Amino acid sequence: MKKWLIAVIAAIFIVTLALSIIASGGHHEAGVAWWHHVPGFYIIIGFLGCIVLVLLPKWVGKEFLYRDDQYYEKGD
Amino acid sequence: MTTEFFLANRPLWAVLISLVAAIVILANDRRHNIREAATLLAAVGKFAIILSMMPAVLAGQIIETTPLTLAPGIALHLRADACGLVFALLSSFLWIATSVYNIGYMRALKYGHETGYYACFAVALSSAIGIALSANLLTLFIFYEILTLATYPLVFHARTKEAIDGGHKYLVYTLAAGQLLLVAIIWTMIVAPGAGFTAGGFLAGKAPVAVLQVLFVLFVLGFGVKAAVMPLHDWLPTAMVAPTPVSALLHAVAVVKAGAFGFVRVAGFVFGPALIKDIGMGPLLAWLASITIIVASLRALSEDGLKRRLAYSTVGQLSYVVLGTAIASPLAFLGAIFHIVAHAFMKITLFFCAGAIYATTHKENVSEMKGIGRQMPLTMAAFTIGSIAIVGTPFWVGFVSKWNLGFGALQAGQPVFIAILVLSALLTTGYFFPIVYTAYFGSSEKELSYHEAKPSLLYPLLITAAVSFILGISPNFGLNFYDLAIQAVNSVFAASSGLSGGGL
Repeated sequence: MKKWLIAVIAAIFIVTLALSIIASGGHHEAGVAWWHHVPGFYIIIGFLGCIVLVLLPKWVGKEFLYRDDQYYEKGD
Repeated sequence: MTTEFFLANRPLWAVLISLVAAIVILANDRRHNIREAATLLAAVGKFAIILSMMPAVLAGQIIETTPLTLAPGIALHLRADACGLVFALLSSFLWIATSVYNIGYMRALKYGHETGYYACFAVALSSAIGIALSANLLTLFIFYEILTLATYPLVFHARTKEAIDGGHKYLVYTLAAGQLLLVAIIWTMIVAPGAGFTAGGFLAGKAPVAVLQVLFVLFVLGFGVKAAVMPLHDWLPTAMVAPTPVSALLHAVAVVKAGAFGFVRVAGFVFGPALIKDIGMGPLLAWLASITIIVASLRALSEDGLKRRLAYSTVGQLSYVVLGTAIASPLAFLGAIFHIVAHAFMKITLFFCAGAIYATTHKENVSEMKGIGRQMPLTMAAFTIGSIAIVGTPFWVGFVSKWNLGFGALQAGQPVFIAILVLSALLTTGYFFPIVYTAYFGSSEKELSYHEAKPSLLYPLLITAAVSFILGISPNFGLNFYDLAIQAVNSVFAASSGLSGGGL
């Protein structure tokens, strides 16, 4: 991936996280699980989740699904 | 004194304001602008009244009023607590968006009979808020039945044979369920006289286990029809014959969510999670919900009609709420309550898009929508957002509820339901993404020359799509849905078992 694109994504991550923390006014006292007390948790998990969603299928595709152009001819 | 009287009775005013609007609408049959202004004013007024109660409820207060007492223990009793306020804020906020959309849609398609239509819509919203703010089962039942009767004319609004048949089916299903619900409620009132909704439930120890099991099944049947739990769901796809704003607000938010909300009230405030475990009914309901989730998703795959596909998606998604209440761990319960909110924003966006496409192109089948994304880019962008969100992709509101539901299943020691959630997400991808693909990459045989829908149709769907994103990264933003849901869950489980969180 191009370096400038990674930098843009990282900048968006930091800005949205900061905005989320400012909007929530810090952390919430009430919660059912530990992540309810983590400011910006769904932004952090969102970015991580999207990275996994992009990289995991690429890896699965490359390792298990992709076949070279001559794959079926070779089997004959 | 007057101010105090007004403030103390806000739950009642929140219910009454749209009933008054319904009368104004009926009195202005020929004056379209007054009729539509009354709709919009009532929508904004209702939302403002409900919003004004939010700070007090967040601070732990409960605002309640008893406008009518028929006999000791039998009263019309309204109460704004955290759980009810989630549903009330949601319905009233989305009524504003739908009112704008409604006016644009009905003017574009010229259905006729619009006075009755707007009046029924207003009554339906009154009853939805009545259900949200009910303090006991009897009050909930009265509004639940008014909701049925007010929405029946909306289903057959087109007056075609298909619409009238759809309306009849809707009425038979919902009224029959209402009778079972009435039996359950009377029986509950005999077992626990005068009891109102109590966090953590009030039925423990009041009757033998067998009686409680029968009562639970009656409640499941009573609320299961509106919550479209299979095999009680068949009215919902048929009711899609209604105008799209009806499908959007009533058959994605108010009516079906009244059923789902009923499950939350019964599980959290009548039986209580601990009693549901003790009488062994949780697993039965959880598997019924799981089967509904999977079968409805499979059924959606084969539907070409966009609204019918959305309807089967609704059937499946509603059972997420039922599943959460059945798993009955704190996180699952939180996921269930928040999914009422999440699904509402996602599904209303999708229905608004379906309506905007129909109003602009008169196309209602997925196979006819080849290339439409290039003609209506904003509408299809919103549809894509709705689809991504409803799958449960991180960053979007659907993820928040499913994340909590998944961990709720782990918390309850039932990880098998995570597999159900994952399978459902894959199936949801399977029935929504082909629509997106067809719209953007499909090529039509004919040259298309459509454009975006008019602003009154376009802006509401863009707003609800934007909210689906905002609540996905900051679920508490604006209306504090997340804090209210957490507060409701804490009250239920603190009363039930001293917040036995299970270590998460």
